[in-house]
Amino acid sequence: MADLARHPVAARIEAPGLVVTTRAPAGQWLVTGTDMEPNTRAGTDPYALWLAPGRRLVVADTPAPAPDDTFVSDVTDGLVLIEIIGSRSMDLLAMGCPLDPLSLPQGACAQTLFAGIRVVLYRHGAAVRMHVERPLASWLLDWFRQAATSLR
Amino acid sequence: MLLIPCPWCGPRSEPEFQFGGEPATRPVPAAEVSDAAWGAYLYVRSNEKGPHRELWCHAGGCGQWFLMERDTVTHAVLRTHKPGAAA
Amino acid sequence: MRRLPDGSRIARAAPVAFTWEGRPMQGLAGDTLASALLANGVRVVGRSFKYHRPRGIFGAWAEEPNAILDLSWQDRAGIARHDPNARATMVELLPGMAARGVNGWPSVERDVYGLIDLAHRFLPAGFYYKTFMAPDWHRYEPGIRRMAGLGRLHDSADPLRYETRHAHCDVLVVGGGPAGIAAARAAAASGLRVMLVDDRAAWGGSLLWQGGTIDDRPATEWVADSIAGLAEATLLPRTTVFGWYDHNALGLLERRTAAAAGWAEDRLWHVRARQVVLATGAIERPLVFPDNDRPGVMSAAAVLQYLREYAVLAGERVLVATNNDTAYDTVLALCAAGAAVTVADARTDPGPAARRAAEAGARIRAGSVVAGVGGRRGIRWAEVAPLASLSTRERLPADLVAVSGGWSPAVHLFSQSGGKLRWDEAEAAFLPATPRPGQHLAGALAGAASLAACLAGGHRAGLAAARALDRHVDLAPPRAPDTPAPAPIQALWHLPLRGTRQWIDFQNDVTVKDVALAAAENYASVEHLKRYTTLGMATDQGKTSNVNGLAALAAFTGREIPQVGTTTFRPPFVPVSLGAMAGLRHSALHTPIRHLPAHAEHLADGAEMREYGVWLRPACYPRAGETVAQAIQREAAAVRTQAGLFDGSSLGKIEVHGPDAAAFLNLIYYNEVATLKPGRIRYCLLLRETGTVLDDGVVARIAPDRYLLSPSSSHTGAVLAMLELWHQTEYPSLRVAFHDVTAAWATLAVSGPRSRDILRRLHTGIDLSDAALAHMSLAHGTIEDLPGRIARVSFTGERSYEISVPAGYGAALWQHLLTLGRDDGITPYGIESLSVLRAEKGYILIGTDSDGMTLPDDLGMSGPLRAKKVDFVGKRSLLTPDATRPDRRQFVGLLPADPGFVPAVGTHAVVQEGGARRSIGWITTSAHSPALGRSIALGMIERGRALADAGAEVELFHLGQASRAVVTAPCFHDPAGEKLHG
Repeated sequence: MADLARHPVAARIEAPGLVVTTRAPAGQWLVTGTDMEPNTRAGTDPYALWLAPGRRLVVADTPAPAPDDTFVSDVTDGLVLIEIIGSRSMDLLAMGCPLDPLSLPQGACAQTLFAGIRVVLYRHGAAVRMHVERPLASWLLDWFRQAATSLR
Repeated sequence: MLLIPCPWCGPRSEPEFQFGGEPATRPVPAAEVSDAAWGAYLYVRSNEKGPHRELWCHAGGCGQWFLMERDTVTHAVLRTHKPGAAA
Repeated sequence: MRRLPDGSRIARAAPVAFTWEGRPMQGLAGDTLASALLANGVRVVGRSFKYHRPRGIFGAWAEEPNAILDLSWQDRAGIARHDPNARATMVELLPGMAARGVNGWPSVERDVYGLIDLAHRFLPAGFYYKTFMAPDWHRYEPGIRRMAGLGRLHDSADPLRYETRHAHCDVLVVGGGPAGIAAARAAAASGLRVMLVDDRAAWGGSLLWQGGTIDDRPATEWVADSIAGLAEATLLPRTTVFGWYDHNALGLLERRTAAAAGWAEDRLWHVRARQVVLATGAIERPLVFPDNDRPGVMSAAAVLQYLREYAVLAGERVLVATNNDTAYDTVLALCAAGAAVTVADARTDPGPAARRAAEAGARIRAGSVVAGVGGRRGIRWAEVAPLASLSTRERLPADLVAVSGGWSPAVHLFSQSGGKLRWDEAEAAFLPATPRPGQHLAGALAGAASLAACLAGGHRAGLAAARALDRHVDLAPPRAPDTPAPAPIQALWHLPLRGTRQWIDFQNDVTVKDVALAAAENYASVEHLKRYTTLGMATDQGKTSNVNGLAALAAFTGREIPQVGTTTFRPPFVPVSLGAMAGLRHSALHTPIRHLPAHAEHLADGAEMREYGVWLRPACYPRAGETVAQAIQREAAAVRTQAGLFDGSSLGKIEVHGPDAAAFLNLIYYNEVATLKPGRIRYCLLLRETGTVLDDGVVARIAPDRYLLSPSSSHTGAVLAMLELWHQTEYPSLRVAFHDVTAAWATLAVSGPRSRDILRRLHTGIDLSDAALAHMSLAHGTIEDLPGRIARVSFTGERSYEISVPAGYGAALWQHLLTLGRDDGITPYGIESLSVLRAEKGYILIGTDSDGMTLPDDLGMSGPLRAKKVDFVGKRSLLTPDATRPDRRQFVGLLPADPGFVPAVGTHAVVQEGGARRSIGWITTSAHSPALGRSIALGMIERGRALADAGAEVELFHLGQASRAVVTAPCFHDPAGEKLHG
């Protein structure tokens, strides 16, 4: 039996006041079933992000069993998690996204267009987290590299 | 650059949305619908000057379809509501 | 013209070296390029657009129509910059700047094309609609185009990076003059988020050259204190608000070239404000008189600005021509600077301002106008005449004519937001009628005529903006001393002097005669006037010409000015480069592009990558010394004889789940899907309500309440949107949900006669026997210890297996399958190769073989319409007369008579009818077939199936060449499908 290696999309981009990294959650699941308060985040690890009426994205930083609900799809490999930290985070987000930062306090989450692509965006402690579909991740990371050079 | 209040996500910028046109009631069953009635359902819309009912989808956000009343002259968004909510 | 030894606002410490037309010159730090050119005595800075007349600097800021220059410089980051259309009045002078005139050869000072002006009678507005016609307009067009235009682009790519920023605020104040600063102070005092924007580097607007006293101290002090007090606000100098775009979204262009922070990039802001205060000021109008475009005719306010801000005296013997009081500030300043000043005031009683000017040493000619000037490359004299008797001329030596025809409030943003204007007869100006919701107006924009009125209006506007957001402010308004009301303006449009040339639009060379011509030819609407004469269409967008132009049109059409009205105001207020609009979204970042999970492997395997819709995919994998065409033929042959490996990860994967999943999908799909058994796959079409085919793909039944849909790569988004639309709006009671898992899986296809042998070496619990896994079925299980699926579907016509594992393992699986299949000759193959294979089988590509008019029966798929009972999407459209026409184009195969000739896609099949060719369809796919060793084609031909049954020949016609082909059934290889099942 071949031991097939896993190749995550990984990157680390640094600039003054800014670090953009990819993270590899232990699990990500699209779940349709119990409803949540719209545009909120619930739980710690795993935690859930509201996506639509009756639909949420469940994210586990550490290994956890799949959620138990009506309709669960494993998308662990389908979404790349990007984390942004630093004093210039808000400036970087303002370059790609028309969302008002005041409308995204801790505990809120938003699906929106960032640099023209669909993302799920929320605060996670001191960081901002962003989930993007895996095929677009390397393009988005190139965008971050270019954008970071503007922040001096 | 309209500011559109999604009934679930609140006010968001226009690029997050997809325009769905004026809604029309789908005539069924197919066997009993005249060519003229079907053609009207496909292509004829009232296209009001002033308050106008239209479908929008928050495609770049929650993916939900909703109804909007928008003034086609001033672009003022009069109201938005979920499909099936009281008109 | 010279620099005075003292008295400027800018620092004199640092000289700045620059060149003009290759000649070295010196300016001062803080100069604009225009003030530096004036200080160096440069009178001719350009040639007019059409007539190539010498032109000088007219204004001092964004309204400047003449001083458009070619500018090269190095920015603070050391990047070489070039602007072919720099407006000299807005350029901050930097060391080493090289400025050149445009539109003049060999120079703007001595321009060979200046002879064109002699032929001006043949070049009125719209001359190109009437002249240069015979024998063919296109003979003259290239030459005329070469001579027209302003500036030339350099060939090199723009090295600049532009940034985009989104911002939100409670109150956006547009304009940093006295009214704007007063508004920002008031709004910020309430604790709201305030943005204050001005297009100059320094704050204060007209206070920078008008001075004045505010709250008993110099205005400059008040400005400095106010700005310091706005520490919490976002302050954006050097920033133009160029457009209003619905619901208080505004576009701002921040110019960071000379900014002290060391930036090179310009920054485009997208601002959404809850309330907007417009304090955009007003623009001075020129007077219209014969030869008013000569170098040395300048805006009176601009002359004052150059004098006070930059200590540049634009003339020693000055005629100031005016119809209002504001020009007297310029008169007094010129007298104090030692110039000899004569004033031609059109008003018979100019009032106290004129008396004060006379006391200062100016000669006053009341009731008089400037009736003409002389001096082609710089004014030498001017003629003054009484308005009542224009033939009585007094000629004065003059090197400067400073003109003021009144002021036009800068209503651009207000009008873009839908605001309506009203003509104020007393002010001779278009003023905003009522502010729009969420908008407040202040200062000269709103008609304020004094500093006191600007401050009061700005303060009120700031309070109103705060009040609209439920904040109340307790702040004393700033005060300026009351000034007596000015003597009224006397409206003065063009002069009734026949046979003279009087300019309205300097930049586009439009004269009063052109307006008269337009009126005579019945282009009486102001919008027609604009387009027929090009008045107001230049890069200055009519800032100094719009009102003069429509006043002339009113006179020629016997109407009042408000009846003529203005043209529609559109953004941008100043030119905005496409680079600034694009921001980061250019070159490699122009469009988001999707990578396959095994992207790196494809590159390593030498793939020729191409964009297919939103995906970057291998077209083929050319080997060393191989052309793309050869690679395609080799790969296709390999799949037919041995095995190929294909990355199909971009194919859509939508999981559908719910007790009503089958019922719902049956209402959506053309084909019957409710009776599909678990483990089975069916090829299905999705129609639009018009009956036309939106997408094809495969539908797999996983369980009674679960399906896996596989739309084509380019249509996955549209299909998902369609499912959601129908579920949310038409069938909300059906219990079904959709998960797009396309990105979560890597799907690799092994295709060919050897495929089963290769797959047997894969470590999997899935039963791969034909009994367990027949063609068009799928099974779940583990693959090399990973959760996955194997589906037997084929797009090549050979035995094929699609293996899916989580996307993170796609690259490793690709390598693994290549290893497993090496001894069987497995070959990577790409989209182009697949396209040849599917063409040999006649498998359609929706969007290539079909278009927006194609119905299922056109493609030979009429079964479901007869068999399916439910009202699926598009059903009714398949029963219309048009859908059942016998002469519809139908999908067929074509074999060209010459087996070596591959007809181009788009080649028409034609018949001869009444002596002319009529198209009966076209070729949608064509290729050289390795399996047949000859050319094949697919197409949509009228009554195609009947022609195919008869084996008929058709004539093909393309780009003047005719050929012939036999119509056949659309399948050239293994029509019975034995290779799929066997």
